[in-house]
Amino acid sequence: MITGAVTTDREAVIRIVVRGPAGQEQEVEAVIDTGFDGWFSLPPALIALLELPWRRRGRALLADGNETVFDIYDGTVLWDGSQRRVAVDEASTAPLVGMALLDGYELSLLVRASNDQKAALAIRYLFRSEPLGAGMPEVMAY
Amino acid sequence: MPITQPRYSKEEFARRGDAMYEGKIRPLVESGNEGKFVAIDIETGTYEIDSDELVASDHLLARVPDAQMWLKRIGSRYVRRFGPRPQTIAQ
Repeated sequence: MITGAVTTDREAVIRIVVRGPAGQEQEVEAVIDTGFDGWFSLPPALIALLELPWRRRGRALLADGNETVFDIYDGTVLWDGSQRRVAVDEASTAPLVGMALLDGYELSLLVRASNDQKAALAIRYLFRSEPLGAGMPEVMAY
Repeated sequence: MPITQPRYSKEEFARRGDAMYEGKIRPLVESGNEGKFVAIDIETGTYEIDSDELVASDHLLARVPDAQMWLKRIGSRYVRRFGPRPQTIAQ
């Protein structure tokens, strides 16, 4: 299980270790972004620091309705105790965890006004034998 | 192996990649492959298709190690969505 927090800015964050090809390693605070359908994004400075290899380019739709051409790099993240190879998208914002990385996992958030951030965010792997959405309220199961 | 860097501007990538996809690749691959990724080398026109973006990319790199790769998704203008989809918000 991966745990994180919901910050006082109401952002859902986790700490995640990213690795480059020569073993460079950086722990970053990443925001869980359910509007991002990729795996992971990093700003240009961190991609350079980790010396991630460039792989390809594509076109993305941005939140304001504009589009952009962006670069995709090859990287590895430590995810739930294992190394996971991911497409790292270059984006000039805080590091983002997208829905592709969450595939197969259940994300729980506890959002509240107090400063108590203990285990306010949990990402849990769903075993194949487990019914999808078990323990979730009926209204969520659409 | 030297690390490949992009040799064209982003605009040139999009122009060449889209022209290759629309002109030669789309008519051959579109049917039955909705949602799959197409990795295209914009210099040679070599391409690979897979439902997994990393697999399509790896297969193309195996054939063209120095590929100038443009990624398309069949049936979509975009390969990524950053943030919510503004057009779908009810007016």
